[in-house]
Amino acid sequence: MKSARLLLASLSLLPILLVGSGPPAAAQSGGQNGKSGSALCADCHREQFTRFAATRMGELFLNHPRNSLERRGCEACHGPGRAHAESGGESKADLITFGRNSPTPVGERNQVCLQCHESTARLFWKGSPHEGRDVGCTDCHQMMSALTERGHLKKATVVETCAQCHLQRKSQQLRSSHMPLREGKMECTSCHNPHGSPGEKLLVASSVNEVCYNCHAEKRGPFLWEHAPVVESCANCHDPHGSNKEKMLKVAKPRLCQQCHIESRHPTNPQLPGTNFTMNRQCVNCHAQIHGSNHPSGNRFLR
Amino acid sequence: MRTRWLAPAVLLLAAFPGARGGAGVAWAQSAPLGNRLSVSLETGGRAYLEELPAAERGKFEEYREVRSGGFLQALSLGLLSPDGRFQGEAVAREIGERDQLVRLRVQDLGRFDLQLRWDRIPHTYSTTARFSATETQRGVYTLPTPRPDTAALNRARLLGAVRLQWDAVRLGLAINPRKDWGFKAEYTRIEKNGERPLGMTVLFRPQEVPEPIEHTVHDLKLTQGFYRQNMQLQFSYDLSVFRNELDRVVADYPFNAVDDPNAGGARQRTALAPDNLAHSLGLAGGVSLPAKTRISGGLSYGWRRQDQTFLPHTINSAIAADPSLTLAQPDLAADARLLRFHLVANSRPLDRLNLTARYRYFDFDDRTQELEFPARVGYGDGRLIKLEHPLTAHRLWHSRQIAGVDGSYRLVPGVQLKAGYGWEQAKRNPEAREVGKSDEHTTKAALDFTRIDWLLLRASYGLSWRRGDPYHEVVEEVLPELRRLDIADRDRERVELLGRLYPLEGLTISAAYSRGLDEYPESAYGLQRDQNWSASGEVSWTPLDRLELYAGYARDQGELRQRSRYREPSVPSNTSFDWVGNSGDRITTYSAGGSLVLLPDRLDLGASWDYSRSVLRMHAFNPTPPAGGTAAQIRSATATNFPTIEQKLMPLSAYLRYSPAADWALTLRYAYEKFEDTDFRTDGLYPAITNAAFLGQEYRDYNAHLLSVTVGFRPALLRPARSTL
Repeated sequence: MKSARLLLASLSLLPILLVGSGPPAAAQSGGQNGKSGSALCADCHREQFTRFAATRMGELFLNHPRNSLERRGCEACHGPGRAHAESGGESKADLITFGRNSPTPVGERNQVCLQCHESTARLFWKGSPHEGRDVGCTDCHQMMSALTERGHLKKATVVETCAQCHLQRKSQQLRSSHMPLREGKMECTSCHNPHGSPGEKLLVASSVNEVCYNCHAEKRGPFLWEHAPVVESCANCHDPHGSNKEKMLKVAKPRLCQQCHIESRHPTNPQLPGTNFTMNRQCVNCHAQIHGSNHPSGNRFLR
Repeated sequence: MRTRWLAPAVLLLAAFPGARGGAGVAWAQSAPLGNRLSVSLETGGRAYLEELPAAERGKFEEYREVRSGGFLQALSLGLLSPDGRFQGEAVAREIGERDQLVRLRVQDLGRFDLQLRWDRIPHTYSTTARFSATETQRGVYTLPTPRPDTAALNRARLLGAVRLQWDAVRLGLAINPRKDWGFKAEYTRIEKNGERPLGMTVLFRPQEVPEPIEHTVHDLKLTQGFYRQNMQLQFSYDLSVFRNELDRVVADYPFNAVDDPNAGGARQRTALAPDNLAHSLGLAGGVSLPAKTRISGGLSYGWRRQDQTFLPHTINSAIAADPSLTLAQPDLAADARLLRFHLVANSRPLDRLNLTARYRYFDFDDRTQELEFPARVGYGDGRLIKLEHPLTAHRLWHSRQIAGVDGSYRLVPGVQLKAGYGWEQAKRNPEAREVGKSDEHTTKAALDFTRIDWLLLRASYGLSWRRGDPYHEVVEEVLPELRRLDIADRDRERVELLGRLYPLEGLTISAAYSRGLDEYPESAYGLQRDQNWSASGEVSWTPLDRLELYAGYARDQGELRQRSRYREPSVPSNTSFDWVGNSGDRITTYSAGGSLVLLPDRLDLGASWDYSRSVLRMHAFNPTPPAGGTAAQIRSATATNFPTIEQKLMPLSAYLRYSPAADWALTLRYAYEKFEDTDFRTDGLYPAITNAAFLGQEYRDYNAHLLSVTVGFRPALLRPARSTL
């Protein structure tokens, strides 16, 4: 296994050694069809231009454009700049701007980005909860410099970007029972697609459980004996954003189980501290296979 | 111990000449085919000011490794073609540790992207567990003869860490030969090895053992897309395979030395998660129409299979040979199909108006044959129970339809009003669930205010009500008045407010409030009311280019009320045995921090502090004093409050970074973390209490003081002039 990993790692580095140093395919528009060209923009906006040029997107647009839109450089996103340039920077009437006080409506601003990005993860942007609330691409992303390793995020991490609005979720990371977000091993986008998705709550899959099964496939079954609330939604019992109860539970045991189990004897006993039913892992001391059992006598999820 | 310091020191020494002499220049110039190389390295050492005992590391190292000694924090190599189009990078963090990350990437900008990521994630459950048995083979635990008594169980050897190690390897390839054509392939392999606690029981006397974990998840996703300006189409195939190297755990039972038909077996056997497989085919797309209208949707069909061979009913030799326990088929031969469909239509017929209609259908069609069992072994490997009516393993097929419309209207620029209606219908197997069909209706309204550039306000309100078919009995022994929370009639209310102020350049003040209320009007028993609210605020301020400050506060509170009845089979309807449980949470979180550049490009410092305190109480009372039963029954029916559970976490860290030259950075970091947990359920829990033998695991309080020194090295001669690596 370890040797396979090493081999994969080595192979993935090979292509870079074979890369040639061909001539740059730089192409910038200049003075055509009312365009002023990126070079003209750089005359006045030197600092922004330099920062943008150092980003991957800048590299692509300014040096290696793949199509006519990318060839427009700055004007691909900001629109024709001739009038702006000719007015000495006074007129911004035709320009598309992205700042907080931009007069360009959010939908129009987003449409600029969607010219290229309305595919793969952004396929369902229109009609999504964020789109419906007029959230702009530039509320989370910034194009003019590369603050983050990927995603051109406005904040240093995905979690911090989302936490601009979802403050409660940020504080939930500090709860004793949490996913490894604050350790940097997961991020909000591990489970959610903020650009829209076929599922509820902007999940990356079509149901809560299918998201969880991506990593916890052992709970997928189908099992011989299934626990109904588990099959329908893991979120019936768990709060994946963090909890002060064990295993990210929404309610502490034994009360969690007692919400639904009023059969007879021990499940209905209000219980005293210090017994098998309240100590250690409470109900799960015995009902350990609560996510489902494949044992012929596992109907009570004991084994 | 010495070797831990050695590796980073050697690497650092090897790198040093490159920064000062000609070696670095030679290295850069000798890069293959004229490509340019960038290198950075961060390494150092850390020490606990007071060594943290292993028993206190369980929570501290839950998802990470923080060991004293030398460490290689980060190493990155980047290669950039002279024209900037081709890039390659290799990044490694926490090298050689349990939470190591390695990332490799090669790309032809915008055309080809190959990524490999290997992430190691530890999950520590405990460092205080004790266990008497010996693992004679993987998953088989043998106790000494004679069986240890309670005192001996409590003196058992310490297990060390009960921990899982995840190794997640992700290989992704994206090819975009043309703007309108894209292919993506992603293969993920998650390997989990180690142990986690597992309960096993016979006749209400549980023991806990380390469950051996040898799981592998293989996941392959292939996507082929065709993208035009006004039309996108995507085909996808997903395959997920779960493999468990072990199908059972067998453990000697400490409370029985011989197999007995009434008292249970001398050994216990539990079935572990079975191998399974899922795959699906999907088609998704979107088309943009005139009048700023777009229709998007998707259809996918999936299969799930599981055919792990069943274990026999019991390992208890006193009952195992009973003919009623003969299995009718060797495995479940599970066959479930998933159909998912969704369609969204969005239109902006007027600049001010945004209309959306959506429909979603999810169908989990479990076609597995419903097996029937004439007998079973109850209470763990306890007793043979021959059944009057065969026990049926019902299949939990279910489907869900969700539809909704909403529209937003811009009253004036920057002020938008939104209103919507949603409907959700769930259908379930009526032989397995008490409610076959339920409908939930939701109305919602929202207001967004962004008219003033220094103020943003968002408010939303939602009201929903769920009503189902008449509740019918599925399991005879259940209290008829119980309503289970996931299918019961429910009224739901949600309020969310978000405000953000930008009063000065560099100053941002955010505040959020949310309130939720779920009421179950028909639930005489079960969960009746669940309400919570949360208020949070954050201020970030950059008064100078060199200075950044922030502070935050959050308060969450929840209350939950449930009603139950203690039901002795002889007096199942004694209403004086009713009890009410009130559970409540109060969680307060503070955070503050900042950074300051003392000398630009030379000296800076920063600090961060968080504090979270949670108080959880579970109270219960009897509305009327229990009466009408035996003394033992009345004692069992009498409700009492559980002791309060409280947790505190306070991480604090501060750093001072000095850069004597552009290539070098020296960072001195102090980190303090304090954790306190008061939980009557696990505190001071000896492995064995009366009628139970636990591993004795708990997360202990800790105070960890750490001091670390990191040296960062990034030679300018090896740094490309134009790179974002």
